Amino acid sequence: MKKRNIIRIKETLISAVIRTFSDMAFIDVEVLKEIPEELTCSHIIHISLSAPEHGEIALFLPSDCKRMIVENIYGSDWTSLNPTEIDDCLLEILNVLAGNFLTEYFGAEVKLNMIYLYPNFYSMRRWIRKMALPNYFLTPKIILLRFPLILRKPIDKDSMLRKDSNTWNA
Amino acid sequence: MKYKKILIVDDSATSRMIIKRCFEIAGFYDSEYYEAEDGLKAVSFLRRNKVDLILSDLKMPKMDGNTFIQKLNVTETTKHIPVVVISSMGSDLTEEQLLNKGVQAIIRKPLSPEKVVNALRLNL
Repeated sequence: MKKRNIIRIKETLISAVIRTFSDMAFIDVEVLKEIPEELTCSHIIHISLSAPEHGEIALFLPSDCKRMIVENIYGSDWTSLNPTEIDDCLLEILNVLAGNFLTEYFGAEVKLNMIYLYPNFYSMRRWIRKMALPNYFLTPKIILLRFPLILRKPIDKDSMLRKDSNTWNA
Repeated sequence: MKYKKILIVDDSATSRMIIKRCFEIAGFYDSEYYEAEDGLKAVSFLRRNKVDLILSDLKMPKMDGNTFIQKLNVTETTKHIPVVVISSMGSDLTEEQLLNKGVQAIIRKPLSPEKVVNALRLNL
């Protein structure tokens, strides 16, 4: 893949991350110039893409980062949420992030089809092993972009994050 | 605009919560919200209940948004209900085709109260 395409992918992805995290989780994102040595990720979330091209989009997040995102979206402490709520929340943010990125990269009129029948929470090592299958990892379309981000809570939006009770399930 | 009963159809519980929150902030704070996790459950719910507005995702298991909207359009008791599509991705149909199917507005995720206000002012 040409270098300018990779640069465009990276810029579009960063823009999508900033917008998605800000709009969904009220978190400001700043991109660092260098990757800190101590950066570690716990699990990844990944979805498959079948249109406009086949591919995979994965989100690597340190535990603290995941916790901040989920707590901000739910307006609740991490410990009060059950694993289903946490999984659903992380999958939804990746879904929106991927939709934002792909729409911006390919254009609003392009049909997108993302497959996420169930959450796939792999460890980073396991995911890399999975992706490293012959005839897959070696294709030129695989790009691993890794950029460090700082997440900040910009303003107190507690009043927007309350859980209300006037909702019923159909 | 007054929508007393609003049905949210989305397979993600997180998304349903965000949609409800955004609508409340946008001015629909005293509405009653009902939730369904796919089109099939929403159709079943609408057989027994009346709502004033439906907010639906497109990509859902069992019955997707397109099929759900088609079902609404051919059912006498539901074809008048305004539908707003809230989705993170494109669909098999273009926005124009969705609007021709009776969809009142299309809002792309991530949802914000501003997007809700703008969409409802422009389209409903």
